[in-house]
Amino acid sequence: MLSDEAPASSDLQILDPRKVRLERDDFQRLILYVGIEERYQPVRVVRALPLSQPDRWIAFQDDEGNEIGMLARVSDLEPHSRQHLEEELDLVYLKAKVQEIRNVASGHGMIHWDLVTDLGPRLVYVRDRSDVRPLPDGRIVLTDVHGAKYEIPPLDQLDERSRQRLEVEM
Amino acid sequence: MSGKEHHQRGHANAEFPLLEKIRPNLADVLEPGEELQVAVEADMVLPGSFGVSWLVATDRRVAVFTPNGKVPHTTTEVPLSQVRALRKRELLGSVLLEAHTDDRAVPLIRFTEAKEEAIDQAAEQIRALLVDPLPEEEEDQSAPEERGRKKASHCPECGKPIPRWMSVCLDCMNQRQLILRLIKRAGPYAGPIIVSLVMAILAVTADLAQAPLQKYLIDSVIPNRSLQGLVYVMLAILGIRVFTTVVGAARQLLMSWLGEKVTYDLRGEVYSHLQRLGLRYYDQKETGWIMDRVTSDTTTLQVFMTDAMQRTVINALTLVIIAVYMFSMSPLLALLSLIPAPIVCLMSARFMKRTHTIWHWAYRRRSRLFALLSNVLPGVRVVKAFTQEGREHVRFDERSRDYMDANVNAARVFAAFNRTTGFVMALSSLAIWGYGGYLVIKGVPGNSLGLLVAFMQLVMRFYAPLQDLTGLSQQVQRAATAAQRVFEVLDTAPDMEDAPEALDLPGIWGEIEFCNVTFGYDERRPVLKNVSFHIRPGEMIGLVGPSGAGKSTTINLICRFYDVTGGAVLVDGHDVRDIKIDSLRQQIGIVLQEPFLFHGTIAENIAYGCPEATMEDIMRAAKAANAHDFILKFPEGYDAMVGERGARLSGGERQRISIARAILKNPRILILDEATSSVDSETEAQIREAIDRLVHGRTTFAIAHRLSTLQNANRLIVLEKGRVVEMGTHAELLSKEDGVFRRLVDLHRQLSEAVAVGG
Repeated sequence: MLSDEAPASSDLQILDPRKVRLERDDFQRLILYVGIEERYQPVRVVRALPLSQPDRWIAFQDDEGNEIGMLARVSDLEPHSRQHLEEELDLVYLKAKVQEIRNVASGHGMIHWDLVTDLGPRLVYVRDRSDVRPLPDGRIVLTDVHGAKYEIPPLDQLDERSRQRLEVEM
Repeated sequence: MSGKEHHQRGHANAEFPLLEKIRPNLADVLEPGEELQVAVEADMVLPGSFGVSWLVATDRRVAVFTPNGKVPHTTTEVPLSQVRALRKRELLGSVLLEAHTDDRAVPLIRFTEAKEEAIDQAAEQIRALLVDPLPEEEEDQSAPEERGRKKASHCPECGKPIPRWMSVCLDCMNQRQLILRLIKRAGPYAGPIIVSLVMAILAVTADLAQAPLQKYLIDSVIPNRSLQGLVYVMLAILGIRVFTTVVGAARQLLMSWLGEKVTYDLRGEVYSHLQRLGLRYYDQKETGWIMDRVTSDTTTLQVFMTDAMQRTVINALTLVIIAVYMFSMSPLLALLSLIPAPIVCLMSARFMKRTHTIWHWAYRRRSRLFALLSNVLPGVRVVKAFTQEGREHVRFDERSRDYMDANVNAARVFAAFNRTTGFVMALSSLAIWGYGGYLVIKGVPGNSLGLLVAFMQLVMRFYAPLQDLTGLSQQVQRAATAAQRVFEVLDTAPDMEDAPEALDLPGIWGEIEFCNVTFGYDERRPVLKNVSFHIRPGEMIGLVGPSGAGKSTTINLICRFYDVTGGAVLVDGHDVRDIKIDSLRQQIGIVLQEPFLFHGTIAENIAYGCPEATMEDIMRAAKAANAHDFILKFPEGYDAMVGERGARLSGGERQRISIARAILKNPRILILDEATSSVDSETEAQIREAIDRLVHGRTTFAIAHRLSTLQNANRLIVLEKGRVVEMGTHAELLSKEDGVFRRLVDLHRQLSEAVAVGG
């Protein structure tokens, strides 16, 4: 029986940021060093709270998806590793920052958002209002039909027209 | 019984007017010197028809009489010396009281629930008279009033039963009182209301001043060709217009704010009251019904408060002011033009009576429609699985059509009423032109064209508010109906509230004791009967038994979702009814068979019981519950939303989240309602592992179906038909050859063997 095997660790492993070092190998994959002995290559990074606290609680996983440990704050790392981690996170989590909302219309059972983002203009298809999520800090996250995220800054940082269009949808 | 002296002392004759009332009827039957002690009226006559019969006890016998005219017809009697017990037999819808002697049972009276309380009391008094009573049988002792628990009572006015979860009789709730109560709620806002009324009076008076101005214009300014006069009149009218516009807008804003505010407060009050009500209330009401109370009824009340209430006052004021203007200009014309007014009032008064019923009718149908929706939509999977879409459609269609019919019917009644009153009112302008015209043509002094025009103006303005007032009855009706519903909720006394001196238990050991606990959701059908056991802190108990044996009920009582009907549940030696409910439930963690996840993120759901938990606490709990890894597989991690019913998660995942919730809460007492549904063996292993971690060091009650869980338990309690039939360790119970547990295990084994062979 499975239950007779040694149980997986039930404690959350929180890594000491001073012992964590990140490098890249020749294939641009991330290598994690914990202290002197432990070395993991390649590692995957997962955000526990990608929306509400993207820069906190990062899980490192080995190739098979087993958790190596968690990092409490990205900012705790020394600058070199931190840069590697931030680059990797930006790569994994595509998130466009919305600068302007040009139009919002509904049709074909979807809501079309005509947006200008920091990654360029884009027409975004959103399934329904539940995919428009306000976060506690005032930001709003759109998830389109393909799962991509678009981050809208808090209302007071938007221009007047964008704000009006957004308020109707909320 | 310790209450013996009490009962004998307690029953002064004054308390029993019936005794005096029937004494003359019994004069012929009683022997000389025989003394009447107890009398009570039943609402059925043996063997089973409705009617009046009296159960009477004297110092010599227990007897039953029916009041047939003057001479009572004796049906049954037993000498008091022979009666050894009075026993109640609970039938369906009625109860039979029997007198037991040494060798037989004599049926005394039969009665319905309506009379039960009085007869219970009387029976208790008769028992106190018995010479040699048998010891009471446990079931016979249908628990008398426990700690002021409300039993079904009856309305003092109409005699209809009032369900025990309510404290007022709906039928006797007077509509005027309802509206009065509603208006009283505006009390705290008296300031803005008075300001608004003053504004309204000013605006109406100014507005109506246009009529005398017009009369002046027609009779003096125009015939005299006075341009200056014309300019003055025009300026005056313009001034009035500006004034009424500004004041009107300001007042409307003020009143709308007020209405919203009053409703906002009401809605909040209804919701917080609903949260205070016990589970019993929710057992008895459909979710849709309750939702309607909070949303649509409070909205109806808002319409009433923002619109109808102020219009009523303003219209009434307008009528008075117009009447003053009219009578000051020409009493005769005033009288003539107001003749239809009483007719209109009379009609609307009659109409009011009918509308309440009509609206109520439409209203019920609406509620039924909503109840159906909220009932069927969550179960749509079942509907589809059994391919019952067609039948559900028919059911919906029926109710939907009922609702339509009710509305059409209401509309029809209103249409007839509105047109008829409109016609009656039109007659009065005819009268003014006719009679007034005649007076002007004849040149009767004091009458002029200007007067007629001004009068027409006033009459027009008179009937508009009057008609509005009668049309208002519609809204008043709606509001009264809604208010009735809302107050019904607010008047429902929470069946479970902290006793005034309830204890606050910040930390407990987790010792649990059931002392002779008897309980039934419906008091007549006990689900648990005289259950007693004692659990030491930290013990793990497996609750075993066939479905319906009372396992979930036992757990409901530990959490004090319901109060026992007899006996007591003790936690750390305190009766749970003496502990603050909050403080009790904070110590209890529950992992339910069908974990309920609220609409929100996974992190919020885990932290539901402890909102102050840090993210690290949450993740540690999730890790211990073997949930962390699968949560991180969601693209949004702990930020992932789980739907209204956690639809995006599998059963095993939901269960592990609910285990994490319990781990985070860190309760002393843990309740596990183990899922019967099978998950794959890896998931099962993970869940079991999580549960093992959770159980460690806590007093645990597990409703267990898995044998593995049972093996871990320190002791097992086997329930059958509401009684504890076996108690002991797993091994002890297995060794009992003909034990109930042994039988269940054998059955289980045969089943799994069959599966193994079949597989």
